[in-house]
Amino acid sequence: MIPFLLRRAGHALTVILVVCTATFALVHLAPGGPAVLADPKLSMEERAAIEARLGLDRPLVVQYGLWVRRLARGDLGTSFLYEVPNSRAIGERLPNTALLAATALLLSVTLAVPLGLWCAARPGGWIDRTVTGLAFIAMAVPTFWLAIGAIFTFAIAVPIFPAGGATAAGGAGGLGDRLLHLVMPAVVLAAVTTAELLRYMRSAAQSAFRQPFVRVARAKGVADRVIALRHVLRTALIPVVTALGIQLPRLVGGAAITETVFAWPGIGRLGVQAALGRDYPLVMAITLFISLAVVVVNIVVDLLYLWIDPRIRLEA
Amino acid sequence: MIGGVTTLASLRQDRPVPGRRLMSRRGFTLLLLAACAGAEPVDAPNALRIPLINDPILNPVLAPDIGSVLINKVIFSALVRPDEQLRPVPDLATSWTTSDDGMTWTFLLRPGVRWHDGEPFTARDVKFTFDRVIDVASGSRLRSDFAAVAGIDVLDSLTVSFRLHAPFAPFLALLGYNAGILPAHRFRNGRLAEAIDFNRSRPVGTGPFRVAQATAGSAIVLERNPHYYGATPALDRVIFRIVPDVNAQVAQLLAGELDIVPIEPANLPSVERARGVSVVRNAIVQHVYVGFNQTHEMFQPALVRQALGLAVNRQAIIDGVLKGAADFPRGTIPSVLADYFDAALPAPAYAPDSARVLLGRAGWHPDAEGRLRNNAGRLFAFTLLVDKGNPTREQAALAVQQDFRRIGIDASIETMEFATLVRDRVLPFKYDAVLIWWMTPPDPDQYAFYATGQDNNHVRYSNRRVDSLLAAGRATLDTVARKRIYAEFQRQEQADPPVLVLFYPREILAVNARVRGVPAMGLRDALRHAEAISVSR
Repeated sequence: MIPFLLRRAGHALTVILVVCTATFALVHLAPGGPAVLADPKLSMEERAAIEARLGLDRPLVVQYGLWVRRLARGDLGTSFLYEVPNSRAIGERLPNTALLAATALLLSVTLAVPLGLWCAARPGGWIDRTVTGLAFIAMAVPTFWLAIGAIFTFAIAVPIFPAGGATAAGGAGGLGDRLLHLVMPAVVLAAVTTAELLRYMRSAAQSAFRQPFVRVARAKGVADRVIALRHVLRTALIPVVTALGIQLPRLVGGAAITETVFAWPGIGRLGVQAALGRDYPLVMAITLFISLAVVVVNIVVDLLYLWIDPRIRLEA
Repeated sequence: MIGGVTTLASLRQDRPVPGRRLMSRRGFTLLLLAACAGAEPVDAPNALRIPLINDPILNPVLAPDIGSVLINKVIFSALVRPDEQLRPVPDLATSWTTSDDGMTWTFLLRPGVRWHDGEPFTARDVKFTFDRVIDVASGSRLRSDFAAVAGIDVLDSLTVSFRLHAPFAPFLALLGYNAGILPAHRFRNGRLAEAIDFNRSRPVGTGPFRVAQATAGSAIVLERNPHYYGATPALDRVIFRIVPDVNAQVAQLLAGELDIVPIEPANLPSVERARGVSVVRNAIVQHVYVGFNQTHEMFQPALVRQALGLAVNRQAIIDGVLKGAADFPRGTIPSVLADYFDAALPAPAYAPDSARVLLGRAGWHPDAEGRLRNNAGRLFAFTLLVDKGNPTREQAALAVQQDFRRIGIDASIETMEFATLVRDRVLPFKYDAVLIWWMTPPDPDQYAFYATGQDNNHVRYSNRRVDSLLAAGRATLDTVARKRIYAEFQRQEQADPPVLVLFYPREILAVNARVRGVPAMGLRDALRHAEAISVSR
């Protein structure tokens, strides 16, 4: 176990280094520049002073070297847009993102796994057709449309939920208020994830139902319910866990549209604003954070395989 | 996205009355509250809620963006503030005098003013603030506004004087614009950007409201300042909520979660039919124009720029694109500056035929297909830049393009992000024409924009007579003499237009009907009078 983890950590480090270097190059090559410099009213003198203060007057290679050196000391740099340490900017939003991602994930798994199994057990039935149809719609509809539609339906036409934010404006809020604000963004975010997981679950379970061991179990007279829950579910989980491993970093880092429309103060929105404002240090910090999330989740997924399927060995 | 909102908005006609709406949500909240012990009531009935698109920097000297500017006007007061005629009136300063040579301004400060933390406000704070403002290394964003200031002297605890490099008439207007005063005792060294807690969550000002709570990415809650020196603020709270998407802002306004939302003309249909929402269109100090890069030979003759001005149907743009939320322009001084705008000047005509005649005199004649060519056979063709994502300006650019096509000029439109447009194209003069705007303090001074060789003269306009008028205008303190100078400047602009002014836009605010007392001026100036705003319950 230990040598496996060490080796994976080595791989992870390489991946992160490559991702960060590529991001650094790309974000600096992108047209335009930091939003603080986009004010046409600045004088040349002010422009030069800002560039010097932000370190933008130095060659790119030097800037990259400084970034790596600061990182080695655990310093993620200071955001151009917000003038705060990036670690603070990310830290302040991490709890919100974690809450939203965890809720959406929980919602997806609790919906997708049993529904997928049910659909695979009775393919072509009315439940299967309804559920599969809905899943296609959920995947096809753009998130911002779903989000705006949800706001107009459930915050304006039939006002049940607040239109945006993580808490009521100005209120200390409390748990009830937080939950109320969480419902719409979590459901919208979960819609796509649920649909994808469901399709994975359904097809994995369907092929599991065709496996010889299911036939043997049936021949032995094992009850359908037991076959589905004990034999098929566990076999079908492997691809689902893989899909989850892909979804999770996306939920953590990529919920930008949901976060923007619902004014949810999370990391996805922070990242989009950083990219649009060419906030180079913040873009780098968020990239680092998300790539870290991806590699950690991948390692966890690999370990989960072991637990789900004892035939898998670490040497692979 | 806009389309989505408009369509969905039309479904909204039979929405329940606000009272019932509030009840049903509260009912649901109570259900949840019953399940979760320890929750507190969240309603703040005597609060005004305004959206910002991003987290602000709560320091008027550092603030780079409009959102920060808005909130800082409520937290920090300045020496003067603009009244509804945009003339500077006393605020932290009660009176002021100018030396005979116009080089020294002395301000008497209001006695008994306290900072939000209870410390007394003195002349030392004014000196501290302006020492930072004029120091480029401090990170100051107000340096170019106050480049005329040579030094600040504290005469006594309530008297401060500014020494200038040269007489500078816009000085008062600029003091009342973005220059909120900072508390010297809150900064250990002069490096403003290092005061992160102050700038992000715990600023201290002298304004009518002070920060009670700041949650990154979410909201900044201001509460009434008990030490405020002016009229007692009518509101308990002013809440700035971070809502990055304009459509989401409109949705929150319709849901009763925001009170004042600045909108684009394209959003008008979704709010105009809404119950409990009123729309106001306030004049602001802004001119939107097409700037022609006059390093290009094609745009150098005044005759050509005059002709281009005659070719554009401005009224059609104001009616069609801006839905009337703009004023018909003369020159570059907007009509809201009523003391200086010369209404007696003829309004620019829409006369494509005269445009063709003028262009013919400048050597541009239609070829067989009606396209203008010069004697060398070159087509009158260029690229018109416009920033991406703002439907109003994109549509205005299209209208301008069609008007030009009608007289045989081929303008192709290129859109890009605003920051890219400025940094990669306009500043290095790598463009032909650009649709852009200037938003200025309430003063007619445009020396930086249209005098020869100035940093902000992005069109490279150069006219000797205009140079001397603009120089005289900013150096003349006498209002009557100044008015004459700018009248002459506006006449010169008609003969040799620096830019093609399209319109003076109005700021459209969608306002919850319960809000009272918002001064009829742009939001950034109106918020300087936040203590006068109230909400009916």
